[in-house]
Amino acid sequence: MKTHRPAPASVPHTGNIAQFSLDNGITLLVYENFASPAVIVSGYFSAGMRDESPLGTGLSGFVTDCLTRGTTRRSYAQIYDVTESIGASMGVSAGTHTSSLYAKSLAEDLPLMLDLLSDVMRHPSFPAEELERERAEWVSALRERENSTRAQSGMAFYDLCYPEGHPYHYPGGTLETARAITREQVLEHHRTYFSPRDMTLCIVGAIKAEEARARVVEAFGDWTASRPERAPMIPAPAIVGQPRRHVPLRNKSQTTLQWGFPALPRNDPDWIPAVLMNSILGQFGMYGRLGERVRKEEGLVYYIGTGFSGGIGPGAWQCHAGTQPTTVDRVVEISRNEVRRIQDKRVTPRELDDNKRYFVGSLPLQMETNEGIAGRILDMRRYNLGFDYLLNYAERITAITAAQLQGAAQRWLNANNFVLTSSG
Amino acid sequence: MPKTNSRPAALKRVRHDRATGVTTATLANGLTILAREMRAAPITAFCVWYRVGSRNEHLGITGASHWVEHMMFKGTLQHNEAEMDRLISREGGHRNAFTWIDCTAYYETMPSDKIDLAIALESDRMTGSLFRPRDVASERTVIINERQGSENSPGFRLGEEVQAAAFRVHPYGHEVIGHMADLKSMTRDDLFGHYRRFYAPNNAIVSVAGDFDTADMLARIARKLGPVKLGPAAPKVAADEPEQKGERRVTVRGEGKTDYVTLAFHAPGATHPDAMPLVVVEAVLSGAGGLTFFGGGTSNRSSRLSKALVDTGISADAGCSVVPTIDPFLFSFSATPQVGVSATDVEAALWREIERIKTEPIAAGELEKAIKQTRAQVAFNTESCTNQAFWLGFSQIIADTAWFTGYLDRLRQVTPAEVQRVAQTYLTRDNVTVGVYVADEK
Repeated sequence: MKTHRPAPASVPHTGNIAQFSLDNGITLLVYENFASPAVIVSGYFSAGMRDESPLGTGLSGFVTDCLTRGTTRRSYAQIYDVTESIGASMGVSAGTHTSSLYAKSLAEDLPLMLDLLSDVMRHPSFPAEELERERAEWVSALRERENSTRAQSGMAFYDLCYPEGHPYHYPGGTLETARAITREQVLEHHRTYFSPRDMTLCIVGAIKAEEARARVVEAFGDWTASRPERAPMIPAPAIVGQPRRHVPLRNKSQTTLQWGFPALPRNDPDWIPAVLMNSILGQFGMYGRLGERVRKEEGLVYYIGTGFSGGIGPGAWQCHAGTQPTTVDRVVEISRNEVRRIQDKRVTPRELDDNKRYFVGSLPLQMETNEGIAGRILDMRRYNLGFDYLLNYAERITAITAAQLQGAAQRWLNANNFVLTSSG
Repeated sequence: MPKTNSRPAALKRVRHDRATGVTTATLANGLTILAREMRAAPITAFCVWYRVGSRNEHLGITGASHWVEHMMFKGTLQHNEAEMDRLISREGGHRNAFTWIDCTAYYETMPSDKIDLAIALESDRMTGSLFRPRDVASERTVIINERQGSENSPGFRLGEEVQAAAFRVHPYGHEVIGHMADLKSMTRDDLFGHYRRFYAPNNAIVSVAGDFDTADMLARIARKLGPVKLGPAAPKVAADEPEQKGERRVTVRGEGKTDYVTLAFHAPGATHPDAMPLVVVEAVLSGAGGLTFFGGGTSNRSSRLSKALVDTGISADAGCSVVPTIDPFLFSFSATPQVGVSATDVEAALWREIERIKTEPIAAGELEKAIKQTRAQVAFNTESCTNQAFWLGFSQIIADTAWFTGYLDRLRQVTPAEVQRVAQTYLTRDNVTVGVYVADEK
C-alpha cells in the first residue's frame, strides 16, 4: 500500500489569492487551481435594481438580459454560436445592489470568453428587433410567474415587508413595466450605470495568475466609464403587528407560506452569531429544530426552513414552508413558538458544539468546485471581510457563546411582529 | 486518517484500470465497489446505490421506492433519526438521497478523515432500518405534501399524463413519487417488504471518489459492509413495453396563462448501440446535455430548436432530452408557446425540425460542436468528487463504469449517417405521445 498524504485543507487567503488593481478601477483576484482543465470568471459591478425608478421596475434585469442580443462586433447568433461551440457558458445578470457577470469554459478558451464578456458589457448594440424578442420571452416568464405559488408568496412578502421607495419592495418587473420599457431607457441605463470603477473580477481555475491578468487587461483595460454616486438607501422600518396577505391561485394542492421581517446586513458584527443561531433553529441536519417539530413529529410539511438573506443591505429573515391549505396556521404557530424558545432559553451546549463543528467542517465542501472557491473569494471582497477571513474562520466560530446566540435571536427575530404571506 | 493495513477477507476481486483511474472491487456478499482517487481537496464523496426505483413497482405500491428512501432516514436500532442527521452534520458533512426510475441512491460528502462515519451509517441502514408504524404514518403526510407541491406545477401534471400514455405495460409509466391513491393506501408491510426485497449488498453498488488511498478505502468499506448478509436475488422486471403502433395524444386542462407542449418518443436504453447517436440528435437539436443529469450545462441558444422556435417568436423556450436508462424510456421534446401562438403551431414547428434531422445529414461542424461541448462537461464534472462518485455509480446502474469513462470516445465514433438513421427510426409519428397543457386564462 502506498502512503497516503492527505490533500491540504487549503482555503483562499492573502497568500494564495493574486490581487491586481487595474488603472480603470477593476480589482482582479486570481486563484490558481489546476485540478481540472476548467476555468471560471465570476464578478460583480455596481449596477442593479437600486438604480431603477419604481415605474421602471425590471429595467436593470432587462438590460442585462439584452446584452447578449448583439454588440457592435457580433450578432446575437454569433455570440451564442461562439460560446456554445466551445461548451462554455456566459452571462450577466442584475441583482439589487450589483450585477454579476459569469463565464465558465475550458482554460484554453479563457481569452475568448473574456473577449466575449467585455464585448457584451461594453459594446452592446441593443438591436430593436432583438429587444422585442427578449421582451416577448420576459413577458412569457412573467405570465408563468403568475401561476407559481412560491413566486406569488415571495413577491407579496417583499411588498409588505419593505416600504415603497425601498429597492427590496419591487418585484423586478411586472407585465406592465415589461411592456412599457423603451429601447431609449435601455440605452440610457447602460450608458449611465455600466462602469469598471467598482468592478471586481475573480478568476479561478487552470491558469497562471499573471496570464489571467494579462488577458483581463487585454479585454477590459481600456474601458473608461464612470457612473453617478447612489443616494443612500431609505431605511426598512420594523414591522408592526402581523400584516398578512394570501394570493389565491386556483387548482393548487399545496400552499406556500413565508413569514418574517427585515433583518441584518452581511457585514453586521452580529452576522455569525445570527446565522449560527438560525442554523439551530431551521437548518442543521434536516431543517433544524423546526424540521424536528413540523416535519418529523407532525408530518405537516415536505420542506420548511429559515434563513437570513442579508447581503450589502438588510435582507430579510424568513421562515418558509409548503403545506396543505388547512395547516398553514398550525405551521406558523409551531414555528413562532420555536422562535420564542430560542429567544427565551439559551441553546444547549450540545447544539452549540454540533453547529460550530458543522460550520467549520463544511467549509472545504463549499470549495469543491471553482464556482465555490470564487464565491467565497467574492464574498470576502464584497463584504469587506478581509482576505484572511477564512484562515481565522474556525477560531472565530469556536469563540462564539450561547449567550451571543441568544442575544442575536432577541435582536433579530420577532415572533409577534412579522409579515405573513401565502399563496395557493 | 490512520490507515488500516490488512486486506479483509470479505474483499474478493479487485481490478484497477490505469487509464481511467477507476478501481472496481467485489465483496463476498456481492457488493460492488467503485473507487476513484481525487486529491484536489481533503473531501470524499461516498454513495450507496440500490438497484430499485419506480421501475420495480406495480399498481398498488407505486411510489414505494421513494417512500422507502424517506424511511431510510427514520432510524435503526443503532442510530435514531436525529442522531444520524446530527452525526453527519457535526462533522461538516452533507448527505442526501434521491429516487429515480432505475435506482435509489444515498450519498454523503465528508471531510476525508471522517468518511468512516458515512460508511458505518450506510452499513447500518442497509438492512437495519426499522420502519416504525408511527414513522410510516408521519412520513405518509410528508410524501403527500411532496406530491402536492409537485402538482402545483402544470409541467408535472402534463409529464405524468404523457408518461402514463406512453407506457401501457412497463412501470416507467408512473411517476417516481407514485399515484396519490397508492400513497394513501400503502401499508407499513408493503414498504417493509419492498425494503427487504431490494436492500441487500448483492443488489447494491458503492461509489466513492475523493482524497483517499484506494487500498485503504476498500479495506475500510469491506470491514463495515462485508459482514452485511447476502440477500435474496432481487425480482427481475419482466415488462417489455409493446411497440407503439400509432400516435397517442393527451390533453391536460388547468389554471394559468401559459400552454405547454411535449412530444415523447420511445427510445432505447443506455446500452443499446443507438443510444449514443441519439445523444448527438439531442446535442444538435438542443445542445449537449448527456452529462448534465442535474441540470446546468451550457445555454442552448445556438441549437436548432432554439433558432427555429425561440428566435422566431414561436415559443419562449424549446428543447429536447434523452436520459440514459436501463430499459427503453423516452426521447422528449418540450416547448412553451409564446403569447398568441397556438400549441398546434408549436407542435408543427417541432415536427419541422424533427423532419429536417431525418432528411438531411447533420454537418460535420455540428458533430464537432457536440464533442467539444461534451469535453467541457467532462472537465467541469471532474472538479467535484461528489459529481465523480455520482457518475461512477450511476453508470454502473444503467450499464457499467465504461459507459461514463468511455463516453467521449463513443461520442467521437458517431457518424452523421448514424444520427440520421436513429432519427428516422425513433422520431416517428407512430412512436410519439403528444401532450398539451391547455391553460384556461389565455
